[in-house]
Amino acid sequence: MSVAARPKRSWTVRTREAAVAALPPEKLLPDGQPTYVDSWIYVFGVATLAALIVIVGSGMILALKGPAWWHDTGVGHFFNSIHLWAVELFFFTMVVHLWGKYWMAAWRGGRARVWITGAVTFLVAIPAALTGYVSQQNFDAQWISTQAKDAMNAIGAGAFFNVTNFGQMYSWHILLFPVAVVALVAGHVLLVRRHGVVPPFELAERSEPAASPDEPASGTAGTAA
Amino acid sequence: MKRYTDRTREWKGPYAHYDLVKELCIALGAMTLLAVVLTILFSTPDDKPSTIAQWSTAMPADFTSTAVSELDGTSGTAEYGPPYNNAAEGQHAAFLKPQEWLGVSHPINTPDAYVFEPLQSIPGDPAVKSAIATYKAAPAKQQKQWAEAYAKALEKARVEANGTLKVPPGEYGPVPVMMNALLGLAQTGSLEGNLLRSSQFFQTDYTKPLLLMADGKLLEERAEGQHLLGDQWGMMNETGSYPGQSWLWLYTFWYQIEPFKESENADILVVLVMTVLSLAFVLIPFIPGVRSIPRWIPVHRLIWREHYRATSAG
Amino acid sequence: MASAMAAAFNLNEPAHVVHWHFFQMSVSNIVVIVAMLVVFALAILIPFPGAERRQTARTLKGTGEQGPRPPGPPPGPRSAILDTPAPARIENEP
Repeated sequence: MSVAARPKRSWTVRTREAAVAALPPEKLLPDGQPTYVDSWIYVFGVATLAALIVIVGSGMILALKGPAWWHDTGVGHFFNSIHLWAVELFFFTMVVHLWGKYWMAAWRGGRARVWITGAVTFLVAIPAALTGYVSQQNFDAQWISTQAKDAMNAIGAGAFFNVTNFGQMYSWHILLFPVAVVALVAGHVLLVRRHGVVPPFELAERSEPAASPDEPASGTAGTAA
Repeated sequence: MKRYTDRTREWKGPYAHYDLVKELCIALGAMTLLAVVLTILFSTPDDKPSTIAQWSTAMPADFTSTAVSELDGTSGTAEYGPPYNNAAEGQHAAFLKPQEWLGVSHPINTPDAYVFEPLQSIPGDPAVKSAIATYKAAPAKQQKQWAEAYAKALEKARVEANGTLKVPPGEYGPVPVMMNALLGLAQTGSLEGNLLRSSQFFQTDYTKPLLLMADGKLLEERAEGQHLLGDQWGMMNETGSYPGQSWLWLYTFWYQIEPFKESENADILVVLVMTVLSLAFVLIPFIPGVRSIPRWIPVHRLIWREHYRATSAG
Repeated sequence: MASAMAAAFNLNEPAHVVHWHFFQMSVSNIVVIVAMLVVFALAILIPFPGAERRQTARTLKGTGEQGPRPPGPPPGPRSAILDTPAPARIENEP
């Protein structure tokens, strides 16, 4: 179909062109990074993503056999252990990533939404973990649910989010919260690709603008706090 | 004061090759390996759940006194308020009363749910049926007197060989007959199933049995041994010596200090504080001062030292 | 419990707890938090591999030669991407 014949108001065309305009392939999957990406701190974002993949993968295996499986067999317990340790690794790497991004002030240059999506992911991951803890069907689940119910009830959330209702908590844990976390992480990563990794702070304050925006000696990214 | 200006511009400088897909694959391999190694080294805990049968067998006096408190409406659940009943208004913070506003969404009438309905399921026991009828027919004041007297007597109870409780003589009305029958039901394991019953065949909601157990001391004693109580910073902890939820450190911190520690509204107050702090965390890019700390304390000079060296030399 | 018993180290014993005034934390949680701080410090202190590659890129940029091409400008609003030839592939350096 030639360009002239394509309908102007096609939603498909508009969606595709908006997506490609926002993230052309070379930006979505670049094979180069700015030379200032030169620290191990940069790997903690992808490490967090990898931990999340292990969480989801091990969670899918646990879901295959149902919530009682891990109590009954060694193999089930093995995969449950991977799931729980992956959660510890996820929070570990996410916090280190967060510290790195804070000290880089990685929200600069129009990247506030990157910070916001990352921070909200952290906050959503916490109740995602809570629903997992109360779905364990063991003593830990009994204790955590009977304690957490007080906070939920105090803020009125207990009226529609009942931590002592195993069926509800399991549903939130294996579907609703993972969808929310994965969606937030996807948005976060796409925003990073769109805006690029934040440039370094300029070291010296300059009274006049840089001679050329390409000039590396000035610290190519000027910023004042 | 200098106006905040973010002059960060798009990078026009050099790029070096960087294989993102390979990096993700390596990270995935590393995280999988770490999770597997940690699993092999330490595994994870799986402490078996407490049951009402265990509770009533190991701690018959505690079980029975909890049942009496459910009967006379003095248990934690009976006096809780929404979402279980209207016995109290619930927690509030100034004019904010969400617990009251959201109302009773999971109604539990404790004498019915925990005493009368389970006892009525016992077939062919005219003594129990007669005791229930006698209790229900008595005026409220008389019911209260019997229950309070029996609760006090339970503090000096002795466990008989057949598992029943023997208390000093007193005016308890039909309460001992009901309570001993309920204790017997619990010790056989039938009470759990009874409490899970609803209008549906399939059950997934454990609210009623869990609230009954939480009204007693068994879960709390077990939790104390595992450092899971609130004043043990238990929210952060896992059973055994396993690492727990260290990310909850700030949430549990507030419960350890005044005015939250002794407040009846501790939960709503702590949640409000954490909501404000969480919002601030999300909005750091817009908060003066906080957003400038990374510039004032130059950790970034360490992070980007290669870049700064290369650009000042270059 | 079979897996737990088969683990190399049995962590099912009661936790050791550090007390300081009103502060209490299990040793395992302290280990995790200290590990995070240590890992963070190491991450920003340990040199990152590829310094030579990055210096080459800076040098190339300075001489005007091409390194790996940065992501190009977005296509125009009606890019008709299906109708135009595909963009030139980024050449890999040997």
